[in-house]
Amino acid sequence: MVLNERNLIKLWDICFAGYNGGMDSRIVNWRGGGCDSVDAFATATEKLNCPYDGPSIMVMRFKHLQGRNKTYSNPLVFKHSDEQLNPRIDPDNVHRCYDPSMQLWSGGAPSEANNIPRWQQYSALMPSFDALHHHRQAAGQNATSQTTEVPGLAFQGSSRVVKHGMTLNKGEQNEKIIPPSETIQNGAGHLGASYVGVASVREGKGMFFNSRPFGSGTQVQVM
Amino acid sequence: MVSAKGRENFQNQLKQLIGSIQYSNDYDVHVALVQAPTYARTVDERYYSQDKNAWQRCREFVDLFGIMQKNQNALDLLIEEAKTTLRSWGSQDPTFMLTNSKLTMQMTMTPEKTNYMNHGPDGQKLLKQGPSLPSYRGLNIINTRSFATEEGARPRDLLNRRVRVAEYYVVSGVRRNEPGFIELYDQSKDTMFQIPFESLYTMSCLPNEDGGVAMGNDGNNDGADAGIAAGDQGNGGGQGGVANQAAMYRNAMGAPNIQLGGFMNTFEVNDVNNAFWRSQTVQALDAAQYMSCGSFVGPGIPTKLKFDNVDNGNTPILGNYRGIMERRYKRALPFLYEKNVPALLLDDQFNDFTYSVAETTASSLRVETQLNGETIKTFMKGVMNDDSNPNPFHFDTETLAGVKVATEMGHLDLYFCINMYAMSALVLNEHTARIPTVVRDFIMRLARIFEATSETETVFGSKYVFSQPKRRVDGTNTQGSPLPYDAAVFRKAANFVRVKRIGSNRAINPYSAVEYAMAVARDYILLACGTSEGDLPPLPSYVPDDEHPQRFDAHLAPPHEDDEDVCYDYVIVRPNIEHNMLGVVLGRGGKDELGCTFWGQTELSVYDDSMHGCPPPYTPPFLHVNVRQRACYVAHPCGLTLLCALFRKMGNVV
Repeated sequence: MVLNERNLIKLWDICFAGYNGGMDSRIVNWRGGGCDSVDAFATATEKLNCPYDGPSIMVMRFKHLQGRNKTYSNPLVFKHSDEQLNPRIDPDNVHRCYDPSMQLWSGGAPSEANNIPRWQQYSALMPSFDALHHHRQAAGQNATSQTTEVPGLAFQGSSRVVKHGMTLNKGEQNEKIIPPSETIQNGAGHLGASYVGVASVREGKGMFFNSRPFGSGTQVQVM
Repeated sequence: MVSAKGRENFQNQLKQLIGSIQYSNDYDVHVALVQAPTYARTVDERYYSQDKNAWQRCREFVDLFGIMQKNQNALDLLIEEAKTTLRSWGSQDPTFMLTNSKLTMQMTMTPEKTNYMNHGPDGQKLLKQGPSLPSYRGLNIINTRSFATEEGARPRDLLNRRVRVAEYYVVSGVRRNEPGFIELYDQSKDTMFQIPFESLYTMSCLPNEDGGVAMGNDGNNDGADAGIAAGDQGNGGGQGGVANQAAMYRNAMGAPNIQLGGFMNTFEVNDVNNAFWRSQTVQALDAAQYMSCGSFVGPGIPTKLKFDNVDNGNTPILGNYRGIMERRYKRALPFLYEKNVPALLLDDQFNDFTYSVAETTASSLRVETQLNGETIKTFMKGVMNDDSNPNPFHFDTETLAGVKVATEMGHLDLYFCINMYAMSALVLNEHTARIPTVVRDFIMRLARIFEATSETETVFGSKYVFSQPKRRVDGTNTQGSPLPYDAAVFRKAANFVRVKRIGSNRAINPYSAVEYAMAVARDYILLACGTSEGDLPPLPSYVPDDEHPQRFDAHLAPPHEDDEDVCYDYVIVRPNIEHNMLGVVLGRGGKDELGCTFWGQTELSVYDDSMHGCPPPYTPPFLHVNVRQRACYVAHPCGLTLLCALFRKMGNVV
């Protein structure tokens, strides 16, 4: 209870104080059991009273939209939900920040709609990120009750994609050479760029580089 | 009380009590502050229209996340922005900042503060005491305290909370067999790691889909494979009970000397006019599918496994090759079971061509010392008697655990090698692409089960197989690898092991197709099989596309969806990246600013944490506010009683 909130400003999550989990190389196994299974993943995700300990990575595969370079939203609603979404981004759950184009696949274009059933299948296996996000408390309550805050929106992270190239229809008339390429993407989300050495920064013991260690985010051909 | 010492003791006790009261009081204030509703909500509700769209709001809060590490002047920025916001709400500037000392620590470490030489005489004092930061930009800095709020849990800072954020990565337009990888950051190890496209495909398969790599009866272990393929060395997950079992045996027996390896032989068959070669090609692939058994090599004199009783080299094995293979090895199994012979030698002493083929298309298990008969039974049954599942690499977890048990209980060196003949482009063209994946993943799975580490002596045939081919046996250039991978991919996959040339272990036997293949493959990615009849000369001729062996297609040809023209987008999400994050509270406090916040206006609160016997911490009913808006935490009954009693007794001592 504070008598005059007008004189009070709380700024949450402004300083890293240590990594708990969720950014390692463990991949969720959609198909089986074990400690990286979907069930284990769901259990770890929904366990909000202790630091996260579970697989980190979900891999979803969709048909590439031929002839169309789809731009994925940033942020991205990565779990399909039949309910109306109204995610909030700020720690105090004040500001609504949803736009329909944030959906991973929207039914707007027919080509995209073809991928929705598959997305729904993945979403059915996922933990209830939408519900967890929807029911999340304000930061103060979370901090007092030691509850973890769960996101419903994903932001673009740092990655480097290397394609070695290949030859299609080799030896045939329509032979086509796919050249090697390298695509570098800098993180554009909460965590900013990720690079070797940033772990200490996210422990609260350093500063981010001001430069862009990963490059420009453009695609370059590698000879 | 009579003596000065007694009074001093009592005074100390009283101070301790006061400290405890203050501690509880601090806790109450912290809770009140962090749980206070934000005025931004009031503004938001009152003025429905938003000044920013959804994207701008996202950006605003994303940028704010961890801004202390992102911007050197973050705190200045935040304070000034807070002042602006407060003014826009009709308030005055804040007077205090409640913060974790971690935030202010960095400000005390700036060169201005720590360059003691430049401070003259004060520098020495500063050096002794260290820089302090009592106030900043007109705000009193109040460091938060950690509170023991739960029994058994360590005290914690209320401005510290666990927050998860999500990231996603996109790999766009990848063909089914396209070689490549995505590199991501692993914060737990502070390193980058790679996930090959092939693993992405496998790991994105839904439960009703075949990932192209069936690795176990329970299908539980694919995730682990990808993890290892991605260079994950120390991750013990993925094998569940087996991993535990492995750890158990490892603890019991000490670290066994395990040799684990696999090698893959790739050859081209250019001689299409030679029907025998064609048949051998298909045989090899068939056998590769249905795999097989192996050879057990003991410390004593090797005993040759007699296959002659089963069939001879003239058997046409195209159609029923699997059956023949099974008969062969099942015939061999009773020999193992009944005699419990620890030493059988299959590969090095095979001179007969047929057997060479059999050998080279089989997997072999070589155990350097004695094997336990029962575990061999377990293993071999798992390998060969599982007709329900034709996948050659369909070892169930139990079987592999059996191998491990055999290895570790007997202090054995296990050398597990897989000979896999992947036909290169000319005969079977792109369909062979599946085989290396299977083999590689199988090796990875083994590596995980056996907990291969950088210390594990591992023989991995990448030296021979995965080097980029330069030319074919006929002298023509290959124009790149006929297989959809190159050495780099497998070197990455082999990060966790020490790659070792198998040739350095064993002398090359010119009569062994395996050995010969490896010798040849040092320079070329081809195999000309060495037989007792001499080396078969390869011929520079080609197989037309329409002569692809249909049987092979039926087994290994990818489904239509996997045509190389079909492209996929992989959306990779990390939804649970969790950090501890700190916050700050800015506000107005102090006795001159009544009604602003509770800070500085609180009075005694005498309930305590659980260590001092009073049950619950903060309970709202005991919070009272007087009419003048002077906040006053009135006591918890038990504490109040105690305090009153103390006041009565102490009189004016306090």
